[in-house]
Amino acid sequence: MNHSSNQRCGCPCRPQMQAPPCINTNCGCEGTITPPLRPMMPPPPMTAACPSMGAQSTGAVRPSMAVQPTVAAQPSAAPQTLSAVAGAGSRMGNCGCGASGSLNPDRDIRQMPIGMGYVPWQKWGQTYPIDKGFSRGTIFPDLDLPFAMGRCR
Amino acid sequence: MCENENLLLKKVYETGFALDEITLYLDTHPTDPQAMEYYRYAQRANQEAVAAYEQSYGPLMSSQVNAGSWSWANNPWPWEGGM
Repeated sequence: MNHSSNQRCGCPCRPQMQAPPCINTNCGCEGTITPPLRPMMPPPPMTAACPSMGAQSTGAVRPSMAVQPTVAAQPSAAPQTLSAVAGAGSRMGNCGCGASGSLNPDRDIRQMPIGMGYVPWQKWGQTYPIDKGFSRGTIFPDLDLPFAMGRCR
Repeated sequence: MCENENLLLKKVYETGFALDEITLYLDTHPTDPQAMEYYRYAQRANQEAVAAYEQSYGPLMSSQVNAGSWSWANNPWPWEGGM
């Protein structure tokens, strides 16, 4: 007997929230939820497919067009706005590429929709020596951002 | 706690922290080969630091007691200056 109201896995666990759509433009998963219509914007440049998705078409999520989901249809919840995804810092779109809301360096931030927060993607670089990393609170010089007095000016 | 013990323990903390940091990085960059290499480096450094400490000053975790008897209770208790 199936006790579950979980639409996804059919196991007797709590209903899962639908995963937010992936808006990583170089992912190629084409999102899973039709995003709300937006004013026409210049289409983003095509970039490589999401590595975790293997060989897929190099589709990019275009905020200016409704996206047809290519994964198996799931009952749609209230449409999620991209801002909820981009600002949430969530790791997962259904593609699992883990770059939801991230800023591909090939994308011009001036082409990105307004009203959302974007996080530049960390790239691997030099690391601090072990003892210095411990005293600075991070092993990454890029993340060594000490608080200064006062607020933003 | 003598100076040498402090030094060895500091090494345990430092390498453990580096391991925590690279773990977080790998969570978001699971296929980064340089990160994976650094992880192995930090992992080895931490294992060595823990081993160096434990060889002289006993187990750091109760799950890592390898002596024939319960050496966990041998070190000074907190109110005796231990940790």
